[in-house]
Amino acid sequence: MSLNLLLKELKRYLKGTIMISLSVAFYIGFSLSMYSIMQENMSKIYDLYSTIPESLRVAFNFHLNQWNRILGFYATYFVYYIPIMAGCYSIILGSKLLSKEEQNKTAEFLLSRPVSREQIVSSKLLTFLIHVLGINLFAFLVALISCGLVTDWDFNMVILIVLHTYGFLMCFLFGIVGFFITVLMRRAKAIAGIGIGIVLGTYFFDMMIRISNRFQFLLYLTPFKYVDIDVLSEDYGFDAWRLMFFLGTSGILIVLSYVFYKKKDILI
Amino acid sequence: MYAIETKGLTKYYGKARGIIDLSFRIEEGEIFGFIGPNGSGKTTTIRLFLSLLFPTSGTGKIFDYDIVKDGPKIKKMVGFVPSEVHYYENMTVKELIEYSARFYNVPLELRFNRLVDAFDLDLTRKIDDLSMGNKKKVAVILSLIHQPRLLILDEPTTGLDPLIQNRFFDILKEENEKGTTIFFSSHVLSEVEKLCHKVAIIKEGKIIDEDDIDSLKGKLLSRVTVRLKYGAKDITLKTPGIISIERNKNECSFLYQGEIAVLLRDLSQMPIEKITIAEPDLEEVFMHYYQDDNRKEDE
Repeated sequence: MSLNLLLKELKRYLKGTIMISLSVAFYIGFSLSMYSIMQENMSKIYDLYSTIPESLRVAFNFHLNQWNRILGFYATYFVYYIPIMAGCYSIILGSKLLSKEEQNKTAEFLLSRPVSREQIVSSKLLTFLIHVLGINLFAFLVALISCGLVTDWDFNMVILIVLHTYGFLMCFLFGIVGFFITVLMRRAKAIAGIGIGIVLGTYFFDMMIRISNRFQFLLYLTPFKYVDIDVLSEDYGFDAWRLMFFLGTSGILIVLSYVFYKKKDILI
Repeated sequence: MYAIETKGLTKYYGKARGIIDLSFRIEEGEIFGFIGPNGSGKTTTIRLFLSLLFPTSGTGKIFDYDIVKDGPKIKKMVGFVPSEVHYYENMTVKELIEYSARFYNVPLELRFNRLVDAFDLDLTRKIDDLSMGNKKKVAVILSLIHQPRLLILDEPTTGLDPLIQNRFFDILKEENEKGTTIFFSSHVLSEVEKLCHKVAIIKEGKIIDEDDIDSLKGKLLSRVTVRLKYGAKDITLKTPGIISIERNKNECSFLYQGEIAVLLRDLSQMPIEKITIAEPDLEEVFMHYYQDDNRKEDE
């Protein structure tokens, strides 16, 4: 790892990370502050809710029977804020780390300094980890405080921790996917469009699985299936298989990134 | 131990040719010119030295370190000036120099002020706002700040004005006197002549000649143009070494390889009003080698 490179990279993407953290936090805070208003008008909401077709409710994870508990309510929105919104930012950030050096041709500067390819990958990945961890921690704190304020601290904090851990692992995985894709590209470039496509596409697969049994095979193509948002189930907690999926997939992609980047011709 | 030693170094980009079977050695302390037209493989060679690219076959060593395995160790000892300079646009000149120096763990004070003064640089400006020439100055400073044992220069003078070029050459000579080896890639013959001890000529990815600068000069062509006096009849040029004569009214232009004194002696017998002898451009220099190729093919 090169501390010099790490510090520069941390600073380089700081603005974007602060922006996305504030946006995500704003949405979380806003949604949770709506909770008490919704509780007061539950009967009206129920009327509205019953007009939405069943399949659509399932597709978008709207389970009204969960909405009388704050975490059940929050879990519905959580998917959009962390795995999708922060996930899109993560995959784009992951794809920028190496590709920006190639696209802006600064790779020639960087690689002619005494720094190994491994050190470059390590510093870039650590930059990514710190940024994504920062976004997720901030989002978690805002969710925690909002839930606390709304319910007078009458909720299970462990559930919130588990939920946000899944969210973080999802962002991390998306970022690693973005990073790995640019390692494979002959002339790397940031994959903003493709990145967002991957996040929304895999979310769409998840929807399909929920709608119909016929799409069960998509299970293997979407990490959303491994984010447990069924927060009100009795045995909600960390699940070894789900954790292994995230850590295993990310781990394999990280190792492959080191292996391929070490041998990659930098064409600029 | 050689500063640079390559054996059969070859690089293909897929099927496209990069360089083919380059073998040469550069002694420590030498200034080695690497000359060839654009696209001949000069930058590919340099990028292999810096492990931006990896060879298709063959080996390369810099101070006995392998260019594939020992990249970081090599780069600790190397200063590099690229042909086109690309830096992080949001940084100021000072930030960039400090950033670069930290990779080498050298105290900046060592040479910083002297170099910045020599090149007359405004440190507070953003890289983005610098002209191409000023960016190049930054590149030169970055290459020298850690006192490298080997300087790799890829067309280093493009963008530098003549005054700064001279200052740059003075610094290079000074560095060389202190023992720094210099690998100088260029397509400008006069630069290489001014500075280098030895020269390799690269054409279409292959080294076609490698020699001391003095023997190479003997092989080089000059572009000679003579204007005849008004009313003079056409002249016949018989001096050996004259090739590809072009005539245009009372002007006559040709390439000449050989002793200039001999040519002048012959020309002095003729009704000549004006004569210019210029360095040929690189393409013309290569004609000599093309002709060699053709001759071999004819045989």
